[in-house]
Amino acid sequence: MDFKVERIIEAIYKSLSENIELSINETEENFEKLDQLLKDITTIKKSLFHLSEGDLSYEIKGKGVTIGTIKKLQASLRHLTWQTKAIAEGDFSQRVEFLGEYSDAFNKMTEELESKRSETLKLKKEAVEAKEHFETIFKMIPDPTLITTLDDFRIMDFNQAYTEVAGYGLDDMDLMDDNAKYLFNNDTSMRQFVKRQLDKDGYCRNVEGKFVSRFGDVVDGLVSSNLYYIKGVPYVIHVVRDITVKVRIEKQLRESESRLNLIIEKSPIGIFSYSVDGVVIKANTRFSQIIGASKKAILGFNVFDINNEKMLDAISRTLKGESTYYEDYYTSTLSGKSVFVRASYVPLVDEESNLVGGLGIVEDFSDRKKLEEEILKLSFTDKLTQIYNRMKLDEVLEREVIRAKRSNQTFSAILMDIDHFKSVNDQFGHQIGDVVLIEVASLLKTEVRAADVVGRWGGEEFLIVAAQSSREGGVKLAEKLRILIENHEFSCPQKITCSFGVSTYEDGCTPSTLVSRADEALYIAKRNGRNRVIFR
Amino acid sequence: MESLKYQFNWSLIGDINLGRPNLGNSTSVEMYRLMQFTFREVVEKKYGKEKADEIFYESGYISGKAFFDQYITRTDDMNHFLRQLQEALKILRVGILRIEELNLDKGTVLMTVSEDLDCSGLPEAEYEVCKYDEGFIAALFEKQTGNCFEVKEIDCWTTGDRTCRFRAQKR
Repeated sequence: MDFKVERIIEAIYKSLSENIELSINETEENFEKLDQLLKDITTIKKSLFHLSEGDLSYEIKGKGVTIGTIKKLQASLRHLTWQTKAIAEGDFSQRVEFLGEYSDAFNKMTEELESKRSETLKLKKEAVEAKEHFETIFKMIPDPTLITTLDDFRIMDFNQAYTEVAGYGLDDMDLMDDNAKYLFNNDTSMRQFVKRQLDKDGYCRNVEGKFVSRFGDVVDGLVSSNLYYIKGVPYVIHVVRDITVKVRIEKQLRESESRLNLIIEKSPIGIFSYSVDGVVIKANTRFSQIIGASKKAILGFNVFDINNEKMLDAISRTLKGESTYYEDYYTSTLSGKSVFVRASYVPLVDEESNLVGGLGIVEDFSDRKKLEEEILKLSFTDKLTQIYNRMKLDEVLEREVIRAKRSNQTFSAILMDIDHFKSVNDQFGHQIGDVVLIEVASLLKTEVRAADVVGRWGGEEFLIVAAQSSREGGVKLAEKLRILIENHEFSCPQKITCSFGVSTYEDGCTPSTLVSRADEALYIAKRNGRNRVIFR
Repeated sequence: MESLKYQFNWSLIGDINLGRPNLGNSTSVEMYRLMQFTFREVVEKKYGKEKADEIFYESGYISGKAFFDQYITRTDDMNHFLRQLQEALKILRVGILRIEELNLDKGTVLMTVSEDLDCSGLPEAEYEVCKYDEGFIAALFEKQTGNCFEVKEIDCWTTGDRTCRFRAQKR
């Protein structure tokens, strides 16, 4: 090989393979070009070295395809660096093109970053909004709200509503005594209970607790608590519903109810209540006494099982919203006891006016009723003979006249007088005379029909009102009674007779005219020898 | 200054679709270069090399302004402007623009245009040929920033590099 060529090749090889800078100081043309070549090789080596180290600031000098290609590589890398910085600053529109697989990978990475960033921004925005939302609610919520630690429930923050109740502002936290600094004050058992619930479920609802305000006021609260984490540290948010007023009202209601129950129980009036289904729910002792059944038997009894139609109707109508009244004899379905009751039944409604049942207020008027009946009886009973008196007979006559007018049916009046009664009194005394009157009255009562009325007209006179009886019927009855008396063995004197005057109702008759005619007939009977029946 | 006969405005380009319904809007790079290089030869002959360079720089400047008005939406965001420019040059097949450095404080921009319409693939000569591009780029940055820029091609295909590199410097 030519020596020169050999030297050239050696120089090139050395320059390429060793980390040295070579130059040839020869003036010959080939060696000048070799010198340039060696310089270019040095430039290439340095450029590639810097590029391999990631140093894009190295200024590549020189021309030619090889150095130009390295410059292009450096330019591309610089451009990529610039794009990457732009992306880092948030410009996700950067795309790499015409760099084959690298373009695809870079662009995909950019899209992913953009997507993640959007997601992150969205989450961040949502977090900020949530935080603002929470802070707004925390401030605005009308219930006292606190944030405490989980371990010992030390108060970290609270809202205005809490300040108004507790008397401490956020600036006064240093003034809080040890009790005030902790939720539930010094009630450690309460704190432990809530903590257990929080550990178990993450929340705890409606725990009653007492709080003492800065000014010594005791506040009853219903606390609901929720656990949450901030940067991995647990805190608890508590919302306190001030129920002081509610507790007080409930206490008053309980006391009021207790008093009311006592009043009802001790009431001399029977009181019971029943559901819309008719089941007796409550009853006081007096009611059970009236009914004659135990409370146990009464409670659970269904009013629809009452076997008194009128009573059942009165109660049933209350379950349709009507207030009713019952006054009558009632035989208890439970005990069979018969009482005269005055009862008021009223429907019971709730605060929304829905029917929820009924209330019965029952008074036992049996004694009074009996008394009334006795008084009534006395008012129309002849004391001696225990048959109707004159007053009642007048009433009966009036009634029969009206009935006869209305129904066009007649009736008869039989006026009877004991013959020679004055003699009996004179001979045997008034007491015997009374006995005779009693016996005669008894005979008359036994012989007349159920529809007929017997009464003492006065003295030794008796009046029989024979209902639906014509002249023949009246006369027949009178005759029958005359014979009965005539044949009867009295205790003393043994034999007496009676005279009878009979009249029958006609159109236009009044009770007075009827009796007057019977009286006339009696007079005739007396005049004609007594112990006979005359019709007039 | 009296009005020019050939003063440029974009309407002078005309309606290509109307004029070339069959051949369309594209032609070859060769035809583009044929016209440009022959034109440059004549200009150099008549006015000299330096003047020819000046003329081409100035032409490129006029072109850059018109190009900005036609294809770029004005924005204060520099990155957005550069993206628009990249996209437009790519779509119009002028070149692949890449930014190496951008320092707005110093007013310097270093960029490359690969597959440049004017020079990529040209044989080596010992000088850069993209004078037109220099003026073009200067006008674009002036329109965007409002500042005048001096643009110099520092690497070119004709000098053996494989990409054209331009340095723009605010005046």
